[in-house]
Amino acid sequence: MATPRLRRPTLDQELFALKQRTGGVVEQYRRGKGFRFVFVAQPSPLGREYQVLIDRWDITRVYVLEPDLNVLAEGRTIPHIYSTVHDKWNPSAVCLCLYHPDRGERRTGMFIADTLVPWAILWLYFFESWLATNAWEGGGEHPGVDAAHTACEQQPH
Amino acid sequence: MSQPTPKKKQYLSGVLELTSRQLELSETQYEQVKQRYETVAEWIGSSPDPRLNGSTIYPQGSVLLRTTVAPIASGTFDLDFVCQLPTPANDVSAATLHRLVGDRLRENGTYKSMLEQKNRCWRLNYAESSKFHMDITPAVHNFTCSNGGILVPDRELAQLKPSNPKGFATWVDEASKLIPKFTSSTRMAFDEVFAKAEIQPLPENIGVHDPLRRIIQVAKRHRDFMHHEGKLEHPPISVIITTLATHSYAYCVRNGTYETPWDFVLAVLRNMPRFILTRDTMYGQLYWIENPTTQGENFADKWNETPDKAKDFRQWHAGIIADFEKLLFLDGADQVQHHLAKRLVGPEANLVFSSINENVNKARSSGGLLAGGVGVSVVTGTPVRKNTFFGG
Repeated sequence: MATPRLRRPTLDQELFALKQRTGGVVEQYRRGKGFRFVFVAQPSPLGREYQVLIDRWDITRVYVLEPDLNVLAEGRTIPHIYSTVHDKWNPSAVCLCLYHPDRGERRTGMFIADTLVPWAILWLYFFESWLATNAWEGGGEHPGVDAAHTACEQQPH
Repeated sequence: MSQPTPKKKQYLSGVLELTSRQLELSETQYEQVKQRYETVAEWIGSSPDPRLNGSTIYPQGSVLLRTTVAPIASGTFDLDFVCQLPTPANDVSAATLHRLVGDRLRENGTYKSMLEQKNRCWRLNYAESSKFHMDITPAVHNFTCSNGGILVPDRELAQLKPSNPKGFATWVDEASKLIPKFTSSTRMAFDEVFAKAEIQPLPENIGVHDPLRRIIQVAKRHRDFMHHEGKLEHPPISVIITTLATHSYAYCVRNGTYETPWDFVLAVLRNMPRFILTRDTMYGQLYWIENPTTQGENFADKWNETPDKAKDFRQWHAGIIADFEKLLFLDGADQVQHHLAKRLVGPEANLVFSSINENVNKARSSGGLLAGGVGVSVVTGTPVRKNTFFGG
């Protein structure tokens, strides 16, 4: 028997899970189109509090709105971000690159609250570690900038 | 700005515990050390000289107390031992006692090349092979002491004076077993849970396993670090730190309840100076830190010769309190790591955080890592599915 096809969660279902899991707020919502959801993430009890934006439309992106990560990085190149991707309303916010597009890490049926949110917290954890040592200890890969951009464009929600 | 929450304090306690483990002599090294001194004891004890025959060697100081801390620059531990001769105290002078042990060691080709004479002990240098020095103090039994004490040569090798390393260690050990009371639901140690699941704990749930010893170790390392940075001309001696910490520990357990282990550690550190006694004499104010197990021994006697030593103690103490308190108000794990590396601990702080990252990654690959309101965790949160950070 064929495995049942997983349904993509509806926007409302995504938001319900996000609110429940993170206690964050909806900044913008368009029925059938998408939303902007902001929550506070603290990667460890020693960590800073970061404002994270889930920008979910045709493509879903994750940004850190505050604090300014580039200021924290003091000019160093931050690993595992989409350096050419920017949020219209928060131009200095950094866009995080949380998964490999071709590895099935994020599949239809998975909730953002179960994937991007934990990955964002983990990213922030290794980011603070990287700030101290300049070594990224969270693993991962670096393709060329264009390849990453293209891959990101092709992602499902 | 993150407030000092109980979770933050609990996490810092775990980091403190991991730091001490990073700084101390490892189990393997302890075993190595034991083998070495037992071999030396064999040699000395088998001497044909009846005054030496049957001598034993046992650890004293930080080895016996289990409060060893790697020295900062050299990385070579200074480990202290007593070589106790069966000779009655009346039969041997301080100078002779010292000479007897030295001569016997010199008779052995191996030891001769490692031997270095010190004021009242002999040093065997194992630095090349095993990264430690063995400082052996000759001693005889003190029959006038009801507490099982010994007599050791003084600095000038003029007289025998009383000492009681075993008694002292017992005193510290008894105090270390007292358990403080905590008001929050945080606990001291969570070993049991994780032994089964084979998931390495993170600082959130490691706790502090032997708080008195951990406090002593961190205090000694902070002192070494301040001295290394040129901030202390007269670093307080370890026996003073140990004695004051032990008194303070017992006092704090008996006189307070604390929100978390972190608050308790801070209280112990803060109360240390309470146990420095001052006496008014015709020579002016004198400092007295009594050896609780040897009557009449004042650990602070050198402070009375050199008042700057007392001043440096106060400076060290103010420094460690400030450096500890600051930890709670730093924002970001990187800031905490920097502060530990630059003010409290030294470069080993980076190894500690690296090992925490390793455990996070292990939990991640075994599917046991969670992420939620308190960040990455092995206790609470949403499971972190497998991912590969990409981009850049």
